[in-house]
Amino acid sequence: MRNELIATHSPTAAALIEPGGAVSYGELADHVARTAGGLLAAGVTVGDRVVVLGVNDTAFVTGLLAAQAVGAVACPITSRDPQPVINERIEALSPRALIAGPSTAERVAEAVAADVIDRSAVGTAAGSPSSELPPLPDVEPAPPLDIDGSQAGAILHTSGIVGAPRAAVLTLDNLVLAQQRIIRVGPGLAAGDVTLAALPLTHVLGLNMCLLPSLRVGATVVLQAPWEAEAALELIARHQVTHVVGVPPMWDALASAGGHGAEDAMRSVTFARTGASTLNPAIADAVHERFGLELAQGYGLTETAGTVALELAARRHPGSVGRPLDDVELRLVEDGLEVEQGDRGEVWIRTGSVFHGYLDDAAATAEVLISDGWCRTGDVAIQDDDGTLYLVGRSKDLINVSGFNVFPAEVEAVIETHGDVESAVVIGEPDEVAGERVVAYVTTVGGGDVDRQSIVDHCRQRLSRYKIPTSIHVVDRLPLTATGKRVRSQLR
Amino acid sequence: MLQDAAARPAESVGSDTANSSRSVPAAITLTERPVNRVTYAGLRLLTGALAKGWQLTVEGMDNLPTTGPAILAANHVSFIDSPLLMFELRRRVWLMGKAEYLETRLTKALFPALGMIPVDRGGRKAALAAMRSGLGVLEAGECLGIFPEGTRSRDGMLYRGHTGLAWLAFKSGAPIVPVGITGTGEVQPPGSRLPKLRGDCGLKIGEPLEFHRYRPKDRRAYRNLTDDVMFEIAQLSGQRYVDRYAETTSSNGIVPTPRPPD
Repeated sequence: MRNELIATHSPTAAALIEPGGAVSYGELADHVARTAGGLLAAGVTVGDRVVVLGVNDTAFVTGLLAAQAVGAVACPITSRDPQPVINERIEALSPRALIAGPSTAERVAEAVAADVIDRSAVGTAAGSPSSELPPLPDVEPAPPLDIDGSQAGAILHTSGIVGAPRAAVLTLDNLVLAQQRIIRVGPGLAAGDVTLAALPLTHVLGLNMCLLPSLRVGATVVLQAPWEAEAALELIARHQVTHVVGVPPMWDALASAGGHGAEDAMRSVTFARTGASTLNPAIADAVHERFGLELAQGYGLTETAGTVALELAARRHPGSVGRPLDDVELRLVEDGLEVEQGDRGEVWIRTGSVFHGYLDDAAATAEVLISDGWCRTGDVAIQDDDGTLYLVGRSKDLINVSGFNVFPAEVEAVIETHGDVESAVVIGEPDEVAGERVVAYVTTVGGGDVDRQSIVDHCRQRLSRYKIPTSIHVVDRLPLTATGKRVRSQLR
Repeated sequence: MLQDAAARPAESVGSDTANSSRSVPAAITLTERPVNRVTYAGLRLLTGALAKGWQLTVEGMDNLPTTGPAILAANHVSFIDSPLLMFELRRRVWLMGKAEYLETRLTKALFPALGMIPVDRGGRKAALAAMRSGLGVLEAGECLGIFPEGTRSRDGMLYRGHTGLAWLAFKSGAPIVPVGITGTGEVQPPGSRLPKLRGDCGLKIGEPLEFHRYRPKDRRAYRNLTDDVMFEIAQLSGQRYVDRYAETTSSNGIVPTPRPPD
């Protein structure tokens, strides 16, 4: 079956817009075909891995699509990651080729020096030359190939359902099924829409829930790198953006950014989405108040190729991620049994977009992909009578205080409503009497000290006794991932 | 005949109460017939006499509001927990108890007369009728007693509470008064037919809990509120908490948990 990666019906329409200018669908298709030809000439065949190194730009998108066009597995890595992380990932992937973005020469040189990739396997994408990096062989454009959808299409790095970060292998079918979900839902996504892609394209939300579905339907994608709220507002206004996808901190920044022009800038937006981490209901309120927009909150994983549940108006069910989307089966499970309605349980998902497995890690895969196509997510949630889903936390983050469950997310959300606190990470530490105790690490507004007792008092009014932190540490910086997720293991 | 009381979750306020195999009255009337008052007085005297032998101490009686609706939430280790709550506090308590009592002749006559509200533990829908009856008690300004674990603890541990408690609290706005019961498990453990005459029993009544900070629209509030109450009960009873439901022994085919060794 031929897998059309991008829309072909309107070659003159703008596919990508970046600071350097616009790239039409015709031009993008040409870049992709020539880059694909280069990959074939470099010996890349079906099933080989191709690392695409860079940031949100045309070269990066071209490289990803070219890899998939020849049946290879696209492995996006951001050049913003520290060199050791980049080296480690390239080494684990053992790619046949590496497509390097225009400003990645230094990163590539160090990776070559570290012997994780051969210099001869490195090249730039067609249409994105670099004075310091060699181009891929310039040969005939690759003809369109028939690619089996059950072939691996991408490998994305995830914080991981179990244990350490892992590389999740997604098939082309996984990717496409998840994209179609987001193309159909709510106001939908179609040619004529303009999407802002400010999220890293190495992340499932930015790649598969933002960039790729937009290109599939023939919409225009405005690429932004790096993310910055004021600049985003300017892009949204200039290009009449209709779809904005951002993690909660991005929406927080947008809602408080800009002068009087911000309201006007956002007027073209029809679909405002968030995901990847818990949305503070106050942010949804602020977005509505400022821009008159209902923020949609989604729930999904790298392991499900993206969104599996979506609340179109987060304000309607504060704290909820909505109901499972139409082709998604969802169960809440405790001790192997479905929980009573209204009780906490681990989210199990069954749908066509559930991933193939973790790269070279059968044990971790077996822990997550269990019988009958179910995927254990490690997320704990509660479901309403009508299926509306409320996330409670991660099962691996659970703190046990005298037998009672404390989920850090709830405590963090409360602490962050304290006026002097910027953000908080809560973990459990061993306690002789209670088994574990609740400990909070916070950064403060302005970076100064904070009255710890006032935080405790603040919690006392909003949390039951056993959930209140017994100690609070003020720190300069908290361990967060690129999409704002807390890395609690770094504090343990 | 053992007494268990239960409060099953009953969140779906709008749905109907059909499909109950038992004849569970949809509502109770709070007006008593003379015979009930006599029964009540007699059992009250009996319980009072036995409580002397059990050396019952009641702490924190001032925490129990004398008027207005209140939900009494207690741990449950023994048959005698029920009469202690019904007769040894400073106001009348309407208890929720398992519907199985309506199946045997003696308890069928006795328990409703004492103001027990039968709860069908066989399913969620059936339990709704009982929850509505409980709400009726609170709306009449009375005090409703609940064992949130839904059954007696067979091993003395405190088990997870059913969220019907939270439903009643959100619906009625009544404060929840946590109660820790101690020593009754030794007087009459689950499975023994008659209570011992000597013992060392206590009722600890905690401060009423207000729950205005919760948003009932958020489904998580039900579980949070219920856990919070169980935590307060654990502080009063001194029991260790286990975060799973206690298993019920009933005619519903649920396998009973083994009895602890004597």
